[in-house]
Amino acid sequence: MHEFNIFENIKRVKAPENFEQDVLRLLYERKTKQRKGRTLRLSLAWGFSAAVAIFAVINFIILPQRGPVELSDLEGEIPAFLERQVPSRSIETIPIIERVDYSGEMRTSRQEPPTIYLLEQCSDKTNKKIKY
Amino acid sequence: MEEQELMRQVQAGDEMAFSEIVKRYKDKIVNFLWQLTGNYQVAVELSQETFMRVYFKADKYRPVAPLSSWIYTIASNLAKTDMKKSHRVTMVSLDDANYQYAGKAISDDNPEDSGMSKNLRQALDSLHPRYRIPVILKDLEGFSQEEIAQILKKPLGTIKARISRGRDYLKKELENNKSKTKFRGDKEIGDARI
Repeated sequence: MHEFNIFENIKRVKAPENFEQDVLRLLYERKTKQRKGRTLRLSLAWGFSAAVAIFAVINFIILPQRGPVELSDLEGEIPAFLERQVPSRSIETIPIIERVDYSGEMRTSRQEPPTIYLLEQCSDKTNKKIKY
Repeated sequence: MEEQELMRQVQAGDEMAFSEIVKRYKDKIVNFLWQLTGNYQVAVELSQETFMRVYFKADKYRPVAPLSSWIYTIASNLAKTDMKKSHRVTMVSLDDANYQYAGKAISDDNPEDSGMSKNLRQALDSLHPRYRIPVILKDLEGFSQEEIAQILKKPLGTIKARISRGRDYLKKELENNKSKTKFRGDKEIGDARI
């Protein structure tokens, strides 16, 4: 059987002398980069998880406790932090009337010195005459 | 040490075992990639990347196939991607019955370099990677057709057809080049006589 042998004389090449060192150096660089990337990803993941956890604690645990309070539910037991804010029904309403004197604020025309205004026509272009 | 054992050690992160694999395969892979790309610098860079993948993807290796097949699979995939990226592929349709010459023109600048090896190099460069890779794996690297089918993940029939068509194309190319060179030589002799 005829064998295809045109490649017998084709040029062949070898790897450069420092090929192995280059590969190992590249390997070291990639490993370092990979390690840094992993650390960064872990940090980001932890940061995000912490943010989610804080958000969850604030929204589902702390805020519901300080929500709007129904007064009807507080007949017998008023929380300490609301005690001052809720008015007691036993206290009567006291009307307070404060007299306000605005006489000092008012000015009459008599107290002011008389002012005379002189009106002159400044522009000739105005076709309307000024009436005094 | 056997290659399967070496790979087990690489999977465990052993750099010495990895270094041993590099030592065993560096020349073969660089030569294979050089035959594919035709550029030594690119071949060396792609070889380095091939070995990087051997290390970092070692856990994906299954000892059902020889290690060489797996490494050549990585190398040929990288070469294909690189050739697509750099548009170094010269599209030659082998469906044309007449196999018209579509390769790069033979350089007349350096006639001393012209020879069988150079003609073959040019013919290889003009061959589509679809045919070039199986031909190189078979005729230069010495893989069997079954192994090539495994490396390229193609049916055996497809590989046989591609090898056959690739070889036919190369033969035609070499004959064309030979006749051109002969014609050029006859012309030069004729001119000298005049």
